[in-house]
Amino acid sequence: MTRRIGTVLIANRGEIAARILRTVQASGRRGVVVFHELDADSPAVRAADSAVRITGATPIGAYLDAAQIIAAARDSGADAIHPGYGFLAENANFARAVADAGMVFIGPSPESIELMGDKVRARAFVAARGFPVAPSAIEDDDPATFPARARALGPPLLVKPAAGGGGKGMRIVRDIATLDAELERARSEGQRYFGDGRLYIERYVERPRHIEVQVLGDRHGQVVHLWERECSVQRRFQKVIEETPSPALTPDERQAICEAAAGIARAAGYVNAGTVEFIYGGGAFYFLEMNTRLQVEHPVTELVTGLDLVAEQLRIAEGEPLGYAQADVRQQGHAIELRLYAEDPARNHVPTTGQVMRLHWSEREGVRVDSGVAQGARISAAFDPMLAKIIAHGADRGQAVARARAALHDTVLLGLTTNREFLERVLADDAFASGAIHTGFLDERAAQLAIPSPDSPTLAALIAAAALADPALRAEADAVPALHAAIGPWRN
Amino acid sequence: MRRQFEIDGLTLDAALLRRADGYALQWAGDTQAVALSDPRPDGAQTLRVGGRAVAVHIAREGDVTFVQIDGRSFTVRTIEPLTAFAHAGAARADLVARAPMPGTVVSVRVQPGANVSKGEVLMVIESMKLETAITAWRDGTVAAVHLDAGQTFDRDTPLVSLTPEAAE
Repeated sequence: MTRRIGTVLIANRGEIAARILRTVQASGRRGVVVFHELDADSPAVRAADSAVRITGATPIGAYLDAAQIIAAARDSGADAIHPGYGFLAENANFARAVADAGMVFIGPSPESIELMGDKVRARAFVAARGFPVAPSAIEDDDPATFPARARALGPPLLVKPAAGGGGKGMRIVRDIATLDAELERARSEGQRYFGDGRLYIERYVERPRHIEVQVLGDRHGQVVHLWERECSVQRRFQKVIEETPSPALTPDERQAICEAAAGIARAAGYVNAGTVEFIYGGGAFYFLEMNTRLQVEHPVTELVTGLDLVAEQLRIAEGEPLGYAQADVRQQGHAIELRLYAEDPARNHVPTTGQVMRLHWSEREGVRVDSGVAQGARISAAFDPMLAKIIAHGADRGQAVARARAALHDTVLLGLTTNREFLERVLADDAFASGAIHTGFLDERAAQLAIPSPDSPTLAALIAAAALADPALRAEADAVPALHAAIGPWRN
Repeated sequence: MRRQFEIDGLTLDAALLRRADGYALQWAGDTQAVALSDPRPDGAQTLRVGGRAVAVHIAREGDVTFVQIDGRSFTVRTIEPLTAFAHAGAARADLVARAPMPGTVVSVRVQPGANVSKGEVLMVIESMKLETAITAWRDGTVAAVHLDAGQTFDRDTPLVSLTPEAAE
């Protein structure tokens, strides 16, 4: 059963709305975007065939308003809704409501979203089918014996909210004596963030690496993997740099982890694009979770496989078969993605705000920039602080990293503090260059990665630039005759 | 033509001087010829300091100059001597709670005119996906609530003001 999708409504904003729109329009389809008024001048709104304003009690609330978005889609003649990532992307009720309204949800089935959205259920599903999961204790299995079962696993332990995600409420316990106190804290955080205080505990892998595998499944039962991505460079459990291939894996390990991911997706009857995340350490890997959507870091996979993941999502949603086999999916060269955030690395990465007064992206060979901002944009605290993704492709890791560094250097972005220089320092770091990264890497190397203070010649240049660019200051200087000015310091 | 320049937490005193053949910068006991070219089509300008020339990108907004130099971006705040003096004299920090970081107002708990005790929650804000309560920093009366629930704000935005304390 195939159904041609002619018009797609994109229920998202920022760089991902622009990214999805690009493929929708390039494939001859109409692209409709919804937008909150803060995003009225965004690249996606400007490029869309039509744009529908949505409102909400908060700006984020507008993008979470399923009924309003579905009404906008119906009114604009959309055949399908692409949710992007975040917001409604992993909301099974939204996926159902889209289908009930007679449109196609570009993503997996509501059942898949529900299965993988419940981390405890997902883990049990994966374990029951023989795929590796970390030794663990699940509170729901028997709440009375939960602390005892946790202790029996032995430290270090990782406590997670059962309903969680995105690193919130996670706690590492190295000293078993503190377990009860940490459980209490994790429970209260889980309650606060997710309205659910149930917990589960896993054996914590020291210096773990985050390795995930892109999968695609069609409606005819075929599932392929599109190789792995390593996303170990993180701060506060949020990814900062992603790359493929992972520098950690041997060819055999790569084969094993990618086949496990495809196997999990196949077992779940998974349709459309998804990502199976693993924790890797000491030569072993464990299932972490499955994300039932397009990921932020999908471009690195696109650059090494030559596939357009959004185009694949659209074809799958139309009911077309994949049309290629696993052996046809090649991993060529190396790709790396840098997330450019509006944040201040010197102040513990707190978000920054301001107006993008000057903006220029690199146009270097092998470099792609997925951006959600245009010059003149005001960056507020209303949304996620990610401004753009700078993605570089090279014949090998060295060339990809060199191109990424050059692209950062080319970038001009004035008007607010970003993590650009911090990213450059990470790329220039010896440990990063050797591939010895893990999820605690940024914290461990914080001292080496701290941005040094400007030296004296730089300070002189900065003062000169600010002074010469200030018409009032120049006029004041001009008003003092050169002869007197030459006397300089003694005039005071 | 003397100013203070705030860069990366430092406050630097310097002066721009007019010379017959251009400008000179006097800073840290040194005086060097300086010049800034007009922007090229790509927006870059050539900055000369003494014998050195570098490409810079510059944008200005009020008293703040954003400068990108050799792949690094800096924020330079220019302070006129009079303004610097006024800042020092008008430390009325006890009157207003300012945003510690950018965020969104989750809820407003008080109305103007309300009497509050130290520690009482005035407003709840959300930044970086974490909720933070803004509490009264002393006993007093609410003079103004500067934002409504749902509004977003930048760092240092006034959130809630208390009336001045009665003279003792």
